[in-house]
Amino acid sequence: MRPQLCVSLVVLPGSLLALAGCELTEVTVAPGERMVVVQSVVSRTQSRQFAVIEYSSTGEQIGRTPIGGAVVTIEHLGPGPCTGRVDTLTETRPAPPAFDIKGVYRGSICPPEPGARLSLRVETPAGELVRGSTTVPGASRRDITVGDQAAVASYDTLLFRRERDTIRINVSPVSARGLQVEARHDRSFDASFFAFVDTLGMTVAGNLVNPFEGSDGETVFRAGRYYWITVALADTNYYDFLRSRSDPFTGRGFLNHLEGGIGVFGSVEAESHILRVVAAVDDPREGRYRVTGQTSAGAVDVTLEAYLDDLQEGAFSAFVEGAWLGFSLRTSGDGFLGKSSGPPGLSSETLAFQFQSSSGDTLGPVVFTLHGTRSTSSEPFTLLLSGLSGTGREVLRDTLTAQQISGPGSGPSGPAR
Amino acid sequence: MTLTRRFLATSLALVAPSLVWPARAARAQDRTVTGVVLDRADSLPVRGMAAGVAGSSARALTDSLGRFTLTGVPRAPIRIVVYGAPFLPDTVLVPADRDTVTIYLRRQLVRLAPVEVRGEPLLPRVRFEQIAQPSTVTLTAEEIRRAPSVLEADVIRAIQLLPGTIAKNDYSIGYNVRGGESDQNLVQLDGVPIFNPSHVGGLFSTFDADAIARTDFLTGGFPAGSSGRLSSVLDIGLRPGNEESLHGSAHVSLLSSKLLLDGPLPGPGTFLASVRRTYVDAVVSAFTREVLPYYFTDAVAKVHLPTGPGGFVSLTGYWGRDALDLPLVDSGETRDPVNLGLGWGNRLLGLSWRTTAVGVPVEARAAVSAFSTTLGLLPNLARFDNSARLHLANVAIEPLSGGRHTLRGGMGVESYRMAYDISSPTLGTTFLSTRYQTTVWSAFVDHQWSPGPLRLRPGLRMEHVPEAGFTGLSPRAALKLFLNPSLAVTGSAGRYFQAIHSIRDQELPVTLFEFWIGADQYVPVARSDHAVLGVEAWKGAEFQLTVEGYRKTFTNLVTPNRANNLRVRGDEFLPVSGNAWGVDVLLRRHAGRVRGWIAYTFGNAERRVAGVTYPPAHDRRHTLNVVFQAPGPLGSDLAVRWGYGSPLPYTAWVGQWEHRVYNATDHAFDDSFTEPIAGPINGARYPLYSRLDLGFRWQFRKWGARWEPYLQIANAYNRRNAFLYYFDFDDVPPTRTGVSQLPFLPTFGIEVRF
Repeated sequence: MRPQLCVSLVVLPGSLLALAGCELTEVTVAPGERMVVVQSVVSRTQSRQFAVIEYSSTGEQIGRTPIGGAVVTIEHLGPGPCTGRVDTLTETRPAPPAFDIKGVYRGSICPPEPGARLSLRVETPAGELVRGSTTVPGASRRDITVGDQAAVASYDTLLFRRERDTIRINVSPVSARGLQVEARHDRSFDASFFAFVDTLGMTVAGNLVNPFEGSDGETVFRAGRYYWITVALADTNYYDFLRSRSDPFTGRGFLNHLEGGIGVFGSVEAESHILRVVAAVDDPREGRYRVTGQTSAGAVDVTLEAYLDDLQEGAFSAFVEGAWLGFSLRTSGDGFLGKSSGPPGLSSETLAFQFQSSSGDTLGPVVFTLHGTRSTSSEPFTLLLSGLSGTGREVLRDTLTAQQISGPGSGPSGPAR
Repeated sequence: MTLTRRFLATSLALVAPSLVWPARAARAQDRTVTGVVLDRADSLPVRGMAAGVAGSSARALTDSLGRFTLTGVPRAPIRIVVYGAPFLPDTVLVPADRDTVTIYLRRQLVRLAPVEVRGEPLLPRVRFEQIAQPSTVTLTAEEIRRAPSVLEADVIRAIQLLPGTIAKNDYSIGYNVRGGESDQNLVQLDGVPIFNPSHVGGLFSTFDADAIARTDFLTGGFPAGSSGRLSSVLDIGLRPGNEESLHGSAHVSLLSSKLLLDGPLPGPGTFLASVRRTYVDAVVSAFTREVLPYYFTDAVAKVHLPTGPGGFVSLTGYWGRDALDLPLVDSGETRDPVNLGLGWGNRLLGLSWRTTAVGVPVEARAAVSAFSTTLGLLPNLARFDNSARLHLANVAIEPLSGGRHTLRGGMGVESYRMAYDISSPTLGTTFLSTRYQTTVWSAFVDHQWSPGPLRLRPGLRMEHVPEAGFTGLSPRAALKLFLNPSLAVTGSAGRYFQAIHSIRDQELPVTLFEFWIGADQYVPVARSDHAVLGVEAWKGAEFQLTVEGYRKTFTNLVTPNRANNLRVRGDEFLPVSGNAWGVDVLLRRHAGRVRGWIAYTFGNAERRVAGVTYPPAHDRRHTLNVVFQAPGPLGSDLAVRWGYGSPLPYTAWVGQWEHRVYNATDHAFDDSFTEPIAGPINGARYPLYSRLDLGFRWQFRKWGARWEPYLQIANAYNRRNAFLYYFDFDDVPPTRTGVSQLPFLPTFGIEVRF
């Protein structure tokens, strides 16, 4: 054991930080007690359900310890047409297997009705038995409005003017304990907005800022982006799973509703809509750009509708719409529009933009990058196009032409926006 | 309402006997000398002074009107000695043909270390001889000021070194007394309860040690006049201002700077005012581009006005504020600002009035005490607001005192209002909005009978909480039986009720604040029964030894119910019961070149929640504190504290799991965080605790002022006492690390008195 010196001297008046304790020497402790961890959230609006089954960490094995070979069933306790049916989730391995996915069980189940009870039963090869049950939530009415537009159906697109619009959500439940609302940029994994409440109602202002990201916060809804906003009604089990966690001092806090294990068997009813976020255009760099050209993979004729970010200088997002390498594209991406460190007196700006798209059957998901120097006089300028596959291989490199066609910087000759 | 009326009628019946008692008890003695002790400056009566006949065992304490009665005095000229801080001792000659005397005491112009005058009684010694009230320790302002401390003298840090008291760690001024929770400790300033007496998240107490006159600490078996909490009463008295001229002191420590002024008012009366503020934020702003977004400040003031013979009006005010304001997002054309804000503070205003009505001393008090805190992403993203407010009024009469019988009775009402609001105006959501309203009506009678070697003190208290439909009768009794003039068997027993609780998880290691809730139809009134038995012995007037065994039960305590539904009232807590027993030993030297105390506590406590029995986080078997002051090197006054504590319990992890995050858009888990799996609650124990603190203080006069530079060294041998443990069961083999409590920490400062 290496002796460590830990002395705090107060050298500045009032240096309260000196009161901080020192880190204690790390010691080895006895291996812990193994527990079965089951985590499964049934979504009423999804046809396939899943459960992740693993052992807790005990200090005897590095990494997670998935449990393979378990028998996982969901029994419908009713009411509803599925009453009495027992569905089985089977251990699956999606192709191609990107990583060790043992311990994930999937399967279709009979669609439960709101208010129906489901019972989960997990039996591991070692004989451990975990049980849980959930009452499926549902709503008799959902009122979701964005500005003055009401959401009508799942995945409809709503225009969201971020400076003045508010998303208003009100749900009349058949059965529900809470509400989870999340907004994700292009369905990316990181939610720009994630909140849960037990009021079954919420308003989300368009100018919301996440104060914990960036040096001066981060805009939750950036103009020039599509967002998937999902409103999920939660049952008690999932709501408790959301709101609770054990504190490290007393080890208490997590609300567990499983018998024989720890985790969750809960359920949600989720509905998603798409927000097209726009804002006022007042910077010369903002507006629409037309990008055209012929590449080795096909023709390009798209518009970029660009909006600068409210908080990060030069950062912008843009909708990309039009013909792209042989198919119709409708997506959004992020980029940078700022002054370059070019020769003195030269009025030029760098434009760098990136978006992800599938580019036809042959290329698969590709990250496309546009890079060039923006003309400040609305003259056409050149953009370098490159495409990287998911494996990092460059699949495309070509040159396109861009021209700002609307916005304050498009000049008197530019088309009106 | 019916219950309340019935309660008032019963209370009057309870108090009524005390009104007629004087006629029965005013029997003449063979030679009884009565007197009154007044402040020379304003002729106000002085309470708590020790009066004794030189060369005789006749001694007494002055009552609230400054009166004392000395019985068994020989019919001959005598010298009566009167003594007590902050006055200079005085001796008066009383002729044989005179049985009454008025003594005027002069305040010490400059507060000195305790004066050692042989042959004169010390206050604790007189209390030992006169009063049946075990489990009481008094600390003088000087003892508090000179005790080793961190950064600044702190009254609650000093209290933590007394027997029966356990501090769970160095970072919290929260303390546990005889197996009780920290919310069971009543802390009051000039008789007014204060809800959360701490700064810097519980690191320092709110009280300016320089403004304190005396601190009485009761660890159990409280008399009938004291209640409101189950486990202890800490009564902090502000000193009145200097009556002769303007005085003051300035103090600069590494924590704060403060200024205290006291002196006479233009008319009759005195004032004292003290202001304190941390200055690190100003220093950081002045010398760097950084911003330290935290400060605390407090102010305390007292005005004392005589209103006639034996009467006065006293007004005490306190205001404190801790503020953390960290800008996260600046406001813009299209966005609101977001600041991480945390602010809390106590405020109190207390008015005391003392007078004599029909020859009976009457003391009345009206006060308001409030605490508020706001935490959140302000102003609108998310906010938590909590407030607690107490309005109280009480009156007590003391028709008999100083003789064989002392009698005190009184009535009072305490009205509590607590509010909790958690909301996000931005999201248009209110997560929690809860109000608690609790009223406690009380009446008591407290009598002491002192026949020969026995001091018997029965008492009765009645409390009525209409919102909870609760009426409780609390019998109290204390006794002292002298085996010889310097050795007595002591004991007390009683029932205690507490109508407000803290909903904070008492097992957490740090007390940021207590979150108070009040008894109502859902929340019960907590109860504790105490039994104390011990001995107290003295050697001369200097050495005191007390040994007390105790047993306590706890019923209807609360702990937070983490599964509570914020929309449902009444499920926010789980009921807790428990018990505690132990032995407290105090060996104390009150005067001399080397003075201080050795406090030892043996304790044993347990709690029961939902069928599970466990030791609470403060269940420490052995606690030893050695505290003394003595002449030190280089002409300094040396203060030493060595503390030892046997292991405290904590909840160890037995594993961990990945708590996944559900993505409702993609119907998949896309993230996770680690959750601990706890072993048995408080089933493991930290290593033992020990710490040595040293304090050095020098004095010199310069420019007409007295300068007192000081150096304090906390944890002088830099022992790494465990504060928290962290486990990692993803490691193979699993590991544990943690954070220590206070490291070796030298601090310094200077005080100037003028």
